[in-house]
Amino acid sequence: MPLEATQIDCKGCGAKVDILAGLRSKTFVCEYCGSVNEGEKVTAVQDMQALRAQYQPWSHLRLGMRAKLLGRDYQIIGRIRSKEQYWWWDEWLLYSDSGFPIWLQEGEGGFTIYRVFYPTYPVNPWTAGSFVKLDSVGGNAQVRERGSGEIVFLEGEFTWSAKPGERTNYLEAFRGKTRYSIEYSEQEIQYLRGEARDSKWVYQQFGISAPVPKPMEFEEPDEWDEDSDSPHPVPAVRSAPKEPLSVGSKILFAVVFLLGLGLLIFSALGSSQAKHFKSFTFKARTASGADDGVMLTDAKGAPIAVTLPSTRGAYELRLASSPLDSAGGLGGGYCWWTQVDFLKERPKAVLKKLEAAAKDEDEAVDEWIRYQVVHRVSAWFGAYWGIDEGERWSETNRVRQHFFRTKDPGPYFLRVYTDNCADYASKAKNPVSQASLTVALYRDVWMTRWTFWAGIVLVGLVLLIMSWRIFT
Amino acid sequence: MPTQQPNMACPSCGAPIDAARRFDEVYHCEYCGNTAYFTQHLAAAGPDGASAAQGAPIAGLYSRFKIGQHGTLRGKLEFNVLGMVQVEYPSGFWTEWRLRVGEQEYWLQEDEGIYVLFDSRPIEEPLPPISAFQPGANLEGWNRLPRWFIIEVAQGKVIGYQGQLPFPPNIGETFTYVDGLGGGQVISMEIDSDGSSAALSVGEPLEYEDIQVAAEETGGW
Repeated sequence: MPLEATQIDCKGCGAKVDILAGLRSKTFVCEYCGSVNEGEKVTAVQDMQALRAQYQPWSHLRLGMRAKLLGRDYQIIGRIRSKEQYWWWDEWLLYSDSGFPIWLQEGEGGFTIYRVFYPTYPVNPWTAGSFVKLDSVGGNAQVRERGSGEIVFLEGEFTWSAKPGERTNYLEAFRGKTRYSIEYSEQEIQYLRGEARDSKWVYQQFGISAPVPKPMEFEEPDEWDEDSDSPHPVPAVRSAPKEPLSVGSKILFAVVFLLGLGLLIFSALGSSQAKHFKSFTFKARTASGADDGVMLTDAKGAPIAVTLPSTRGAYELRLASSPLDSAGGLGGGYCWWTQVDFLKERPKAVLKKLEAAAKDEDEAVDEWIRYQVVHRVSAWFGAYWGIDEGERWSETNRVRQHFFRTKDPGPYFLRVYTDNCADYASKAKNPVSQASLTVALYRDVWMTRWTFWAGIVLVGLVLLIMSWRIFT
Repeated sequence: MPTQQPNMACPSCGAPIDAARRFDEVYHCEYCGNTAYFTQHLAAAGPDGASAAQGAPIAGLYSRFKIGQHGTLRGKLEFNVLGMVQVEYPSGFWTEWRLRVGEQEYWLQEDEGIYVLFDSRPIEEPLPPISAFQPGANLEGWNRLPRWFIIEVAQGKVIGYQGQLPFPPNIGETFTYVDGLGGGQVISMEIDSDGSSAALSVGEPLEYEDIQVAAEETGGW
């Protein structure tokens, strides 16, 4: 049932103007002379013919149209065209015969039906961040827009004071299909809550059979001709915001991001691969009191050939002694020392020169002269024990890790040398004689680099998607 | 149904008056349209005889409510609409409906489609300076109220009334009002134009669906 019209004289031209909101009508525009009436005053005059053409609505909605929305009958009684620096939008005021107003905000991607509400958690729009929470139910709403809109045209009637040139600050946020709008000034903060609806649905409610017009392409603002009588293009403004991520998507993104971050941290820490690629175990032999240590590499003291694979990262050399038991007694300790060398065979020409030089100096040619030490690792192992204030204690040191890099992958020779620490060199029953040494080589995870790149890809993917959602 | 008392009648036309209104100071007769101001014994007519015109029925007020109507709040509390006051403010108009709910009376504010059921609260502490009331400001620890966030400060003006009211409204009277939100409630204060007195109300916001009005088409939101 249409709203009952009451006729009021326009204070500008005296014409009889139909008023539909009765006593609640605060502002009405005379369709004949364009006077904006408020109470007994004319607050502005609009050139209706020119402005109607200039600010024609994008959709097929028009004043006076009726619709059943959300279970109630409404009639359009007013429209406000507001303009920002680069875009504009229409707000339609709909009124029911029980005095219930709703606002249809029209944007490119559809409509939002708004009504005023009092939030459980009032947000200060001047200081609000990127997310706001207004309702007691539901999570935070994401702020998608804030600014100041200027009324450039109005037609029909309104239950509040409005006139061309007025500016209103606004902040808009969304959560799912729920929309929030805060309109504020120095005198008032008004909260509106709404629901996004697509144009097709709105058209159906109004019984409009015409197809929903396609949004016009956005034109750069500097191409606009403000003095032109031609209608402004309807830009891609206030488009429907992206739907927020579902809980499942959020969890997926979080897992992928954390996984990527973990891989990056893992690779940055230089952790080794779990399995060694070379491992040798030697039985320790003490030096039996001699000054020199013992070559463990093999029985004859010859080095072991080891090929280091190509890599841009570091190797881990892990030296591990077998468990070292205490020798008993009130206290004591022992230790043994190890040196591991990576050797590279010298080029024959160089070797010849060195041999010739030694001959010239009348020196004996060392059997190791054919090798050049390219990397050396020294470590010591030990066990100490004793009794302190009646408590027995012991300490052992039986694992050493060392990272090293080499520029030239390829064949190397491994030489392992060991000796007792000086204090225990001559002890006949040195427990070190029962020990063994394991030399293991590990490739660093950096060598394969898959963790690094996988981490980069995963973290980058998540950041890319989030940036796209935030900045577009 | 309103109860009536035989010896209570409109001093102007003699129509019966609802007995439940016997302590009211002002009564607007639904039959003859005149307004009567009563003493506590419900005897005297308006002192200046000018009230009938001021209290003339307000036409064209679209609302879910009308005087004499009944309904329920949240499906439980039955109410009757006793009277109304229409207020103009810079942004528009609001209506204060006087409701009787059980043995109590409340103001139900209707403004741009939102409803708040207000109950009055005593002011036990000195009023903060008016400069403290700015939209966006918080007021904390005053008059045993929860912290409230001020959303509106403006001037209101009484432009009309109808029905039975607990006081005689002065048409054209202006006042400053301060509205705020705190603790899930709406807090409203009205301060006289000369700042000499103030009234404080705390209200509960109601959704459209929270109010069922007799013989009204139900709608959803």
